[in-house]
Amino acid sequence: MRIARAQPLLGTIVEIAIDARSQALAERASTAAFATIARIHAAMNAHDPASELARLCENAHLRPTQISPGLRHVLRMACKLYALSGGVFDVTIAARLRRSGFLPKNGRRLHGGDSGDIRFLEDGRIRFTQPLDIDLGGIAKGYAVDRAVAVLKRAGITQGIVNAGGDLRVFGPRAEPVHVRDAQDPTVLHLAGALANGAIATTAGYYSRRGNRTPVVDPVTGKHASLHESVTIAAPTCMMADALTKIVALRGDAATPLLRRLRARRIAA
Amino acid sequence: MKMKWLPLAGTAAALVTPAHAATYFTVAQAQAAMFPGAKFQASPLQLTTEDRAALLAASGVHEPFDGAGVWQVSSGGWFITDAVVGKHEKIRYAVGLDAGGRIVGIEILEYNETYGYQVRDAAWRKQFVGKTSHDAVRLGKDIRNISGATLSCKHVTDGVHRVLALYERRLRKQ
Repeated sequence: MRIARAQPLLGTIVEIAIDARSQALAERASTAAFATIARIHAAMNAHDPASELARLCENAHLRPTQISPGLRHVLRMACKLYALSGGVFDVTIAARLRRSGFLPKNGRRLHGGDSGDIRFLEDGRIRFTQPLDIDLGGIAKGYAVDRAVAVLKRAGITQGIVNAGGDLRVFGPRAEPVHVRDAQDPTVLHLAGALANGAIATTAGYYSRRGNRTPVVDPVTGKHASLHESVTIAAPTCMMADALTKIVALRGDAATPLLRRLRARRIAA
Repeated sequence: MKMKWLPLAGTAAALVTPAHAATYFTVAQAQAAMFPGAKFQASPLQLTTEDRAALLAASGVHEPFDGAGVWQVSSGGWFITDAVVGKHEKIRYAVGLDAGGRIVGIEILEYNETYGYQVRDAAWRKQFVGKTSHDAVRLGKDIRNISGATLSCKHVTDGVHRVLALYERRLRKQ
């Protein structure tokens, strides 16, 4: 039977839809998956001064700082994407987001700095070569979805979808139908196709735009994208799909070689 | 296993579906998930004008709270259902509180996007029946697997504030 469940997490509504032999198994598996998502949210939330991420940013320019394997993994991927995208994907743009009002101000004043200032020490600790303000919003939701899927599989679930407010991952032998919102009118849905064993993420301006700006910032120019067209990316993992939507939103066709290299593709809506 | 994307072919890609609605756990399923093994006693509340004013002040939620959705949990807590309405959405959800008034869980029960499509006539809706590449997509309450943000869950957060205010005002002393 297919069982669907949803909880408010990650600042959105997270749906888990799975095939399970029993309600009890479905409940156990989804409870574990939601708990994992909640843990990741607590650790990586740029809006929360008590999160592990916030504490890292408070300390890592002063002394090497120990962090959890999950946060380290996401930072590694963020830095890899920074390098692969020629600096277009840069999680250190939080300072700019605070100045333009998309993140709450925290009283710090930062000058310069980019993902190149993040150092991974051999003992697992992290060091910044100068103070940095990091926002993992372009990657952490996708990561949480991937981990939730791993938890569901470990619990014995063989087919399902985890969808965190539009960043979704499908697992199992069957392809699942995927809809995309019309970029001009998000009340309209288009059935885009069916996906098996992969993830889809969409970045668009329809709910995040203020005036002509969205929170997607070009690290090179400092300008906010207006995103009048939506960008939908399919990739093997949701973390990749999530991050790649930002890169494609800012670079368009120039990002095609990167998509190919990461076994991802842009989906027409 | 390799990722597979099967796009919708030709003009069908422009297919439009009517308003999205989804049902998740029922009240009974949410109760069992939040309070395993417990029993539930329906304890409907009648709210006074002062109660309603206090809830509005605490949460900003204008829709009247339905006092019928309150259950006392045998282990000492409370299970409360509520609904919040946004510009284009209605969300029915449930909050579990332990004996000390702390949140043990929040479940979304039902999600409805309330666009103009819902008033369209049966003939318009009929065009979607059978016209997909996947049998799993039906009109009605199926999960649509939408890529593209939902509206934020701010409304649910506001609703939870009002449930907590309700607990403080009417349930805590019991």
